[in-house]
Amino acid sequence: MIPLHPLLQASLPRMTQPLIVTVALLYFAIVAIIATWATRKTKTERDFFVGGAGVGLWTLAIAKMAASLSGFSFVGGPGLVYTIGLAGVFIILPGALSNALGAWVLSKKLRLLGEARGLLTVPAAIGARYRSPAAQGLAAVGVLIAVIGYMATNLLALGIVIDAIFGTGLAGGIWIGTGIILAYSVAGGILAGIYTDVFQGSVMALSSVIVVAVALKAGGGLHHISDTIMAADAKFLGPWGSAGPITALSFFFVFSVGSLGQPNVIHKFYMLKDPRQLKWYLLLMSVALLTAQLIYIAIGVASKALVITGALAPLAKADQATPMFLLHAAPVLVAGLVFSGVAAAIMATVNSFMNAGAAALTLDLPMAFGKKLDNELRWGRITTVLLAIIAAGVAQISGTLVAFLGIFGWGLFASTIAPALAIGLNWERATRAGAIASICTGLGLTLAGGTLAYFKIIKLPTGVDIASLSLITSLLVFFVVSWFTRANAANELDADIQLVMET
Amino acid sequence: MLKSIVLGLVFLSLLVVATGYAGSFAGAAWSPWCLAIGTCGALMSLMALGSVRRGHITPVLRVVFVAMFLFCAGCFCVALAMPANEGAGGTLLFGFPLRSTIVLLGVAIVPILVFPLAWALTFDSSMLSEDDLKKLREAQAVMARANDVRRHGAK
Repeated sequence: MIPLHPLLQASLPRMTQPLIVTVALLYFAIVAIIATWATRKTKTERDFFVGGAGVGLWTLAIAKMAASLSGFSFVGGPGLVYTIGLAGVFIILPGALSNALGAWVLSKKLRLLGEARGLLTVPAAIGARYRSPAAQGLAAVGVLIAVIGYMATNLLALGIVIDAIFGTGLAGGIWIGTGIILAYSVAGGILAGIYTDVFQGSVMALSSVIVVAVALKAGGGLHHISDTIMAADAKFLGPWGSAGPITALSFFFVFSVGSLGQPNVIHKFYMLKDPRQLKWYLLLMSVALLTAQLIYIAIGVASKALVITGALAPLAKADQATPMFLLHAAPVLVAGLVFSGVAAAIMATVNSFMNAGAAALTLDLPMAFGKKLDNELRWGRITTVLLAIIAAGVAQISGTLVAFLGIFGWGLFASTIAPALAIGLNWERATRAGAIASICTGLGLTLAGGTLAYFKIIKLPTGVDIASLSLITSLLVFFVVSWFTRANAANELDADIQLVMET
Repeated sequence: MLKSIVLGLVFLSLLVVATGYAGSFAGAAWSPWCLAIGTCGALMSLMALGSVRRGHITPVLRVVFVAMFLFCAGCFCVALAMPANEGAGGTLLFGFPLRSTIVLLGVAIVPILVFPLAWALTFDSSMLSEDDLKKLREAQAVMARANDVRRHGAK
């Protein structure tokens, strides 16, 4: 799950060709069939929010991969690489490291904690760890704000894709896309989401592998592509691209360490049926993610080479790299498959966000005020609809502001959740005060700093963004406040939580 | 004791990253070095933190985390230190310019080969064996029964 805003800067070229439309219709039909099947299995709030904690390893790995990648990986990302060269790759490059990080730091502990306490949400793990409804509520506020921004960004992107394929108009595309995701998210919750994610993840991986082969063939092989680019633009294929080392390394920091705070992804650890299956999780997840991410580099680099040689007209907007490349260099069937892959990536991400947001509203916020709703399954469905309507409305009416909301997402999740959860579950002497201070720091810095930077009231050095500054600050605040309040640590840790932390 | 050392390394690494960002406001040439070394340090020490069990890290994993820190940070440092030679006729390695290939190897290719294997091979001994899981569930059942008794007693 990565910021999508570059995708929103340009509409896509028209893709309304019969074969592309047919492939896209087939894709939506298969999603509908899987969702209908999964919906019949959703009977309790546990099914709705954590898939009944009965998901197998293959399903978990592919669903996590699908939720990790938004449409940005297929459109915005290649466009970013086309613009700034290899610096743009540092958004996905930490994938190998961040998967390993999540495995060692969070996978076992979250899974066992979920089992011990019957947890359904990521903020609930924070609340349980520190015996603190306040920390849980604050984390839920962070999740909710980020979710609405991210959903709006993704729904706008989905609207653009549907409009490009079916010619529905942007507003029509947004609401049709919202309706489709809503249908299976409301009825089947995360259970329907998980099984459609498996299909969607497979489409994404297949599209990626085919496009890499097409890109290498179109560019005359990797050596030829590199020689062509290096002769025309020396910095593009350098290790930091044309954006410089600060930009590249800042991406590397935020997208590696920050991965520990992405609730739509880490929440899936609760769903694994047998915790011992985690043994092969890292291998499967790494292969799945690597496969799906190849498209990101391949199209960006190949498009650059084709534009340099004149085989492709210079792009009016960077985000046209993928559609223009597909229309000019790939068979129509492949173009149809890849655009289904884009829709798949967006839908899988939005479903996870809907579920995370609905859980924050239905479970975490009432808990913060000492309440428990009567029928959590029904309220989960109602809040899913509510969030989707708000996000689709924001996507339709806010224009460029929606991109601004999307920018907050990753940084807000990372800075509010990663310190308290990831370090807190591995450090017995971390304290409630440290957790609350770091969550407040993440919320305040990301929202205030992001707003000031967006309106150019403050200017940050080239390559540095507010997400990275918020993340590093909230991590340090967590350590410092926990250290100064360490005398309280022993009183804030329940015996069953300690047992999980020590296992 | 070991956990305190690892936590100290996490904190130190984060301080190095923070120093890198602070330096970027002054346009310091060493900022990228701090970001590269600090981020690699934070990642490996966080993984090490997650692998500490009963004050101990499996020797194989100690070697993996230290070696991967040196390798990843080393690749970044080599790329930062080497003169740029990505122009026409520049040296290619595996189809990419030399410095870029070094970074790709350090951050993506080698980690994707090493970590999943290290994780799988040490999972039973250092993360969660059948026996660990059984003991945990038994202890949780005892706690649950004790809580029930306490609640009934309170009534």
